[in-house]
Amino acid sequence: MWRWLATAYDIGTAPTLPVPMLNIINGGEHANNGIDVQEFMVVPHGFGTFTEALEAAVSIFHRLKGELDSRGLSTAVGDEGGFAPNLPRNVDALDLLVEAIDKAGYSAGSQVSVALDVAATELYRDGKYVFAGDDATLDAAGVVDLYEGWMRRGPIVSIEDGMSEDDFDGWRLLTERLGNDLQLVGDDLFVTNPARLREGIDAGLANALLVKVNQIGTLSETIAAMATASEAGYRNVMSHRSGETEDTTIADLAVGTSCGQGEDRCAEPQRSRGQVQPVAADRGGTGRGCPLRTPLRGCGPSMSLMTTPSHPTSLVAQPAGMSIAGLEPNRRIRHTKIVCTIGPATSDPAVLRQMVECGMNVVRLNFSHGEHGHHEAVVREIRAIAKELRRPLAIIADLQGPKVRIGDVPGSVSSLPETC
Amino acid sequence: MLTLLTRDLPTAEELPENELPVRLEALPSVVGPGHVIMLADGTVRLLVKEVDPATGRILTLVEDGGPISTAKGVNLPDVELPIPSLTEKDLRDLQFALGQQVDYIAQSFVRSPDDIEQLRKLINAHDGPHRPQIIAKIEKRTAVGATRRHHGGKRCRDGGAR
Repeated sequence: MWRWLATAYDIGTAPTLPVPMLNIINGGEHANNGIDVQEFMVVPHGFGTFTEALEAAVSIFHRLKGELDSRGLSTAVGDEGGFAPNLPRNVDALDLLVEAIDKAGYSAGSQVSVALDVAATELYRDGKYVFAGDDATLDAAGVVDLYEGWMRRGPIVSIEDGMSEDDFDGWRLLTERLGNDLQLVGDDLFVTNPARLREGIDAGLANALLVKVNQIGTLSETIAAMATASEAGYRNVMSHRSGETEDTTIADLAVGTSCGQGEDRCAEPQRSRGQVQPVAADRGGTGRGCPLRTPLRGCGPSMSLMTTPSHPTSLVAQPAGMSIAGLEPNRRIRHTKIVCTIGPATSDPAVLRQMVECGMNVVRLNFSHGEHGHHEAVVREIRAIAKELRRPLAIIADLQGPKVRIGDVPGSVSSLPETC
Repeated sequence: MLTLLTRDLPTAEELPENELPVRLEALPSVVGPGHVIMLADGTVRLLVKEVDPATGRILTLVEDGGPISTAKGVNLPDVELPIPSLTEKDLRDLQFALGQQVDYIAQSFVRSPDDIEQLRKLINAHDGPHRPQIIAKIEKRTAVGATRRHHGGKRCRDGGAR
């Protein structure tokens, strides 16, 4: 089906596997606890393959379950597919999630980040937002301050429905203040409706569209909304619906439209597995992943698939040649990728490792110098470090080009005086 | 003044004062008075005063002096060189880089969209599914307009570098 979708609705890019966003802790209307935020999702963006990304999410899901058990908290899975532990405040859920990421052996922020679905429409009463868990009644500016506080506490990359669906002023403020740092997803705001989306884009509200295929009614209207979003530089996040079945259509949609991100429930990884995996196999993939492109190439609009670890919508083996969409982690910290040229002083494995640890994202091999054997050794070393430290590292081969050189001059150096 | 020699290059020992050999015979046919020639990564800047096509000698004024040595690079920001964008060495390096499955190929001294298309064809002709992205290094003034105009703004490169 994904292949048919890719052909039928040519959106101009090659099919890409989405970054999964897996709902893992629930609060709000759908749960009975002190958490106002409807969903806390894990976003395993720092992996080369869908398989590894999903494995990370599932392992965090189980680690979190262990943590909840050890604290005597409920591990029942709610109708959104995440845990609904009885925690007093929103930040407690965030802290617990970051701890689970850490204890599962992943790096919070560079490999796995957090996405929130606040469902703020449900918290909006008479022009104010009531965060009961935090015992706070806030105006829109106060809500943005609250989110900024959470961002300092955990690696949040995306907030969905951060303001009420009819609070356009609040949305504008949120987008102005956090739009450069975060993915701000409109669900209730846009309801996958191309006309509402158009109005929102014109008014500068949000920067991503939550795509629910049965919300507007037809596939054509859904795809039209996605195209409108992409053209405006908005990302698309393909979403499951609450209490959804094991149907795998959204996985095909996410891949066929190259949407980039997908939301699903954490409690049933078999589903993401169940479809994205067959999709992978269908593409003739061996299950061996290709290297994750660094966000250098993915800076344009991209999209996601939301799912739950309990149901990871069939995303497992990644077809050869098909890359997982890049979701920029830590956008609020750094927009620039660090490119380092490797020379004799830096090709030592210990130095290369230090450079990666200090933030190198891209390795430049300068083919004006050095033998192939030397470059090959650097490539091998970089791949090993990338794998071991689980960091996406890109390699640039910089060709010398048509270079003109001066001929033989006496001595090692001779100097041309000024205005001689 | 400094005279650039482009033919019958003397050895280092025989090199007369205020003369400098350049390894490009076609240079006198592409530069003219007013053009800038830069040496050694732009640290030395020469302004062309006169060109003698008969002898291949180019008379220049040294605007910025500095140290130079054998085989330092010569950069001609104002003109297009009559030599292929991808040299034989580049083609060998490209095949090696494709074999190593690098993520990006950076193309130096890109002059026109055709240069990029030529590289893209070579990448696409490579066996296997791996397709690195292209970074076009726009290092020449003449390339700025040419690559920007390409296909009315349609993407012809995957990244840019200066």
